[in-house]
Amino acid sequence: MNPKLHPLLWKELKRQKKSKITPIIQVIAYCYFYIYLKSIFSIEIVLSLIPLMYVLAIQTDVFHYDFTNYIESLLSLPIEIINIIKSKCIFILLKAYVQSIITTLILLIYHVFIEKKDMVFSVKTFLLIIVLPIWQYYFSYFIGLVIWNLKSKIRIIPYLFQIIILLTCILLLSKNMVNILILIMLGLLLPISIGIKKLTETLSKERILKRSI
Amino acid sequence: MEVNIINVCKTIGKETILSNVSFKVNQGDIFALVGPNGAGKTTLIRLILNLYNPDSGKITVNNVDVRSKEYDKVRQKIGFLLDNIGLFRDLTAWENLEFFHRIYFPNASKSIRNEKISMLLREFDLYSKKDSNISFFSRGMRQRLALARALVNDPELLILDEPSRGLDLEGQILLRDFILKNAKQGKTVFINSHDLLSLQKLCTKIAFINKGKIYDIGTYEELSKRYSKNIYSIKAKNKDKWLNELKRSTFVKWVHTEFDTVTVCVDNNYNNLPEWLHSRNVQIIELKKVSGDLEDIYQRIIGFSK
Repeated sequence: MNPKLHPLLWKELKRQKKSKITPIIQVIAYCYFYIYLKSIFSIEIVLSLIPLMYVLAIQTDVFHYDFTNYIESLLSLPIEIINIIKSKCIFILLKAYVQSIITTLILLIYHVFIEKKDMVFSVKTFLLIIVLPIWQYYFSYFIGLVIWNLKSKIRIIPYLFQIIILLTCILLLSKNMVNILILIMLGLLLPISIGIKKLTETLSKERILKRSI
Repeated sequence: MEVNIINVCKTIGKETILSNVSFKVNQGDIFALVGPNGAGKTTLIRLILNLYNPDSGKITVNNVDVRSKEYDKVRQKIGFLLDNIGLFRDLTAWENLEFFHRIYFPNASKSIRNEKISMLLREFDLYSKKDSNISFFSRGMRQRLALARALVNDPELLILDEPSRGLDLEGQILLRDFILKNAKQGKTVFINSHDLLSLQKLCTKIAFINKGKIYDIGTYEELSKRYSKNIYSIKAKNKDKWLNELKRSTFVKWVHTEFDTVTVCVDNNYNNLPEWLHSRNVQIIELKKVSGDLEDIYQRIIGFSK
């Protein structure tokens, strides 16, 4: 293990290494789901949705994991809360994209070799694939701040946010409105940034602790 | 490291948790904060660790305000064991210590890190369990691991909240040796505990806190002189005949009965206990003034029950 790896990322990796079964089940279940989705949407759309779906499944666990009896010890360490949230976001994206790559490969094998269909990626789809992870990082960061700052015990918040985004993506992609989706995502970055700034200013260990105990 | 608490007030909701608390803990002190549940002890620890902000007043550690940015450097030299232990249940004993070592020493080499963790696990008799997930540990084993974790950063100030909780006799002896050893090395130790017997043996300074106020502070000898002068030990026949009347008497602060001995604490100005007993024809076998232990002092300061 790289000794320079951020300790919080290291901790998440160690923790996740012990739960191998859940990601495997997730990948299998998602593959079945995407094969079903493929009958409704094009393969390109399905592939671009995969990371968003994984983020939805991973981020609740990762953001809420520390809200138990070790939160006090974690906050007593010489690390900023903001760095805890950032490292969690990075971990969420890393895990989501590793699982996404595996799922994508399985789906591509199925699509090209079993169904014997062609794939045509447009420039727009490529652009979407580039914009999505960047956008998702900021969005996860925002959700992390909401969870840690406002209502730490309400697990439904990230689900609601992420489901709204996912449904919007599905709706726009099904109408082949990739351009509009990209524009909406880029446009949403401004209010998300303002939200991040405001939530960062009010981030307080005292509040987190009182809501966690 | 020195800890200086100056006129600290803290209110949570509508409840006043701490009211004008002031005291100083000197370098090398083994300092105990003693008081009932809800007295404000844990809140004070949270304020020292900068987890809570005081409403007014100031806390400094080594002359650095805990609310300042520079406090992060001081924090590097603070080891702590909090009320909730704070170990990660999904990690092994080794991984728990490694995580904290990585936080404090991110650039340490693997060999230095391994050496430190091995040494700590051996010291707390947990090396054979190093690869066990701590969710299978007993409360005492977790407490020992938490003590080991408190030393991961070679601290100069140790903050221990209820460190003896869940420890068996062997664990308590280990804890006592741990505190003494660290104090001898010049570390300051700040303890919240209900284990008065151990505190009496260990501490160089004791503060009594109740309802958010410091009632008294001093060394055990100073407190003993101040509070034990009106405690009597009585051995006498037929205690059923006079004990209840004694308990009801206005000059009595508290009475403790153990086998044939009655320990009684009377008002500061009351000097007539022997006369009172003679007037009730009590057949005294032995009557003497006693120097109270920390439990007696605690009862005098905080628990005035008869």
